[in-house]
Amino acid sequence: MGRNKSFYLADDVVEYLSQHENASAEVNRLVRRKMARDAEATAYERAHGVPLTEERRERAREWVREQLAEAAARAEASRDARDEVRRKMGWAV
Amino acid sequence: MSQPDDAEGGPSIRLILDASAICAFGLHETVGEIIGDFDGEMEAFAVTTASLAEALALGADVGLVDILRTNTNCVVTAATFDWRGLGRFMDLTRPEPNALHDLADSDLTMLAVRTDAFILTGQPDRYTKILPSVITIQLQEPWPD
Repeated sequence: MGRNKSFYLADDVVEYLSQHENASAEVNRLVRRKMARDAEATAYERAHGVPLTEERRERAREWVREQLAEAAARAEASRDARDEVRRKMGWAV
Repeated sequence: MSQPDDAEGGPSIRLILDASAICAFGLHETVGEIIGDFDGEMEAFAVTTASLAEALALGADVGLVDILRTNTNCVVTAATFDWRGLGRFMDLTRPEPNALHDLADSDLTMLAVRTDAFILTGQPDRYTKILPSVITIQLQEPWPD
């Protein structure tokens, strides 16, 4: 569900969007990402009384990188156990 | 609304947010950053309808929950849609002959195993007690200012 709207776009933005097969989907993706970041920042400041600064985001990104890498290592080490469950459930392994 | 099998050829689910992680969006900076990690066309994060409902019951901000679930890279799965599969999974993982694990937690754990995704949660044992080999990421407590 959605609507057609006309907007003025700068030449470089038009050029960027023309590289995408589905420009509307790309616009939706980018705007929703911005909406999420703005909403998160507003909620964070409301809860903590301090802004969600780029420094705080960078600290979080570092934590995310470490956690995903560590989780991937654990996943690899325990893959056989989950594959056994998948086999019993009749899912592709 | 999607189901894991709908994702054939679509983005693969790499991370599932449970109710505690949904509630933490906007309270702790790591949730926004970890879902931002799945910004490409081939990777997604997921929430179940049961987790969304639990998050609201726990006091999550409805506006933030809506922003989270309508994120382009968010897959919302209908809890218990695959009730036959869930029944088999709960039977397979029952803690003792006459007991079953929580239905919604089992549903989320089954989704994690089926998609090979990690679960972001403040309570990993809700899922690891159902299946010890499921991979969880423990939510951080908010860092001191």
